[in-house]
Amino acid sequence: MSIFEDTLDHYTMNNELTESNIYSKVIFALLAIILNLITGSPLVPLLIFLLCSFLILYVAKIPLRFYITFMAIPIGFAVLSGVFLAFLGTGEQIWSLGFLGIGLTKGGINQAALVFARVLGGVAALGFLILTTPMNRIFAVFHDLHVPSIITDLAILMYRYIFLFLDVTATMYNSQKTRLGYHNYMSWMNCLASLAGMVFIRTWEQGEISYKALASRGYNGQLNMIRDGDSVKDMSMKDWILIILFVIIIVAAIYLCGTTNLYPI
Amino acid sequence: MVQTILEVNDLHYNYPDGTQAIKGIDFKVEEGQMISILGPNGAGKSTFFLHFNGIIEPTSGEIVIEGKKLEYDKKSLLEARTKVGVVFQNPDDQLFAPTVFEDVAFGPMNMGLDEDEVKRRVEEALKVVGMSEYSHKAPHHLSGGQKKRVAIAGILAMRPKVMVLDEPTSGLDPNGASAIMQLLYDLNADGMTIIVSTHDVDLVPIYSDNINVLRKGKILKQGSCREVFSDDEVIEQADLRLPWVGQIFEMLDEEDNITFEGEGYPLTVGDAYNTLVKKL
Repeated sequence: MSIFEDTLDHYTMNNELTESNIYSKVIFALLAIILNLITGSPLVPLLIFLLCSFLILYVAKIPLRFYITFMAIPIGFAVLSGVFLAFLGTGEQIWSLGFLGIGLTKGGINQAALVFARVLGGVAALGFLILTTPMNRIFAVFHDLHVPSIITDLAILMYRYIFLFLDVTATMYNSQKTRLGYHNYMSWMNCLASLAGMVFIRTWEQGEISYKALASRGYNGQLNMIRDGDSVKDMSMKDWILIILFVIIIVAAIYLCGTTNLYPI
Repeated sequence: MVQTILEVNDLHYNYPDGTQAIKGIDFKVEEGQMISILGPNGAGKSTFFLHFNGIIEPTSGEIVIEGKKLEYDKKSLLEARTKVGVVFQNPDDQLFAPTVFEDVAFGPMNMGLDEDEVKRRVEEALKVVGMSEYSHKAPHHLSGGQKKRVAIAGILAMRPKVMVLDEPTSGLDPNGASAIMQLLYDLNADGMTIIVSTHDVDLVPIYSDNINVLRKGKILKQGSCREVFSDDEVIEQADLRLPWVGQIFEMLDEEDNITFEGEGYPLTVGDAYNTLVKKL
């Protein structure tokens, strides 16, 4: 199963927090995101980012290399939007681009720093949930929250078949390469087109046979599943105390930091 | 008295394009039997099997389960599917849930059992197939043989009276294939009626003594291993062959005129050993 070794899915099922109560993780992540959004200073989101990264790397023991890959894309976007925001502020310019009157302002830089920090904090908080929780537990939470079953049913089937078709795609791709596919631009285009077409047809056939298999076990239009989740009632006292402690620390930090930023206003 | 548990009367099935897939099959299964259906690729084995629990509705003919003719309304279908469990050839067609546990629980949940009972059945079924420790794994993290076991557990948990398996040994390594057949043999010894389709002529004689040869939508011959395998014509028509062990005795017979006691050739290593020991 080597192609699945280094995937998100692999780590969600093999980390130190996989078995801990799903609601502890969901409540923690949601609170972290909300607190992250109501701060006025970039310091607090940075604190949230550090706390969540600590949990991910040292408590859940997700490898640093994988965590960096995971964070790279959102941070890339955050940097881009930060740069734009820094130039879009109003007020006194401290450096001018010399073009259309655009330049860096103190307000713009403050705004950019805040947004960048919030992205870091928010992604880390969400990442904590995503990286440490197997998908099926999250589906169980959806079910408990009375999300319409059509959505959870679809999500469950998609989750399973993504991996099946990844496998099919990898096999077909290798077989094309074996027969010298993808050797130049035109061949690359042709091979990719037929690969996409074939995988599409396979999904169609798979749908038909999967329906037969489900019907053989009494499927009648709704996935009647036992949910492999936990309940809020099972959350340990320790989890509650840690969450409350976390909220107190962050609220205190919000209060103390106020609107402290790179440039005092 | 032995009860007839599944009966197929004059079954015909045409594909939507008019091709005849099943051309008149009469078939009878008694409680506690272990039946093998042998036949070449494209003989209509899978199509035939899907009639047993009403997935495919026949063009004409009838299916009788425990003396009750199968109707095609929702309630009767659910009942039929609880009594006759079908394990699909490719376990990836059958496994759909994010974890093994949830997948095996799917059938019993549809039967409307309460959760404690479902959990009990799932744990038991996983134990029978030897997959207990994998219950919280995702199907895509399992090997082919393991997936097969989980697929079987998914049907076992419904506690059907008849279990139908479409090529349970295909794509498995020799040890895996033997282990699956042994599992089926044990289940059969515990009273479950089992119908298996396979190409593996070397494995069949070890586990089953009731063979149906299916070819081009018809049952060509029905009988014990020795009866079926001594009928050269049937074997050739159905693209089968004698088990390797049998071929040795065939050669001894035809080329050196050395014959042994008993009717037909020994077909398993055990049989051959006993026959040879007796002679020497």
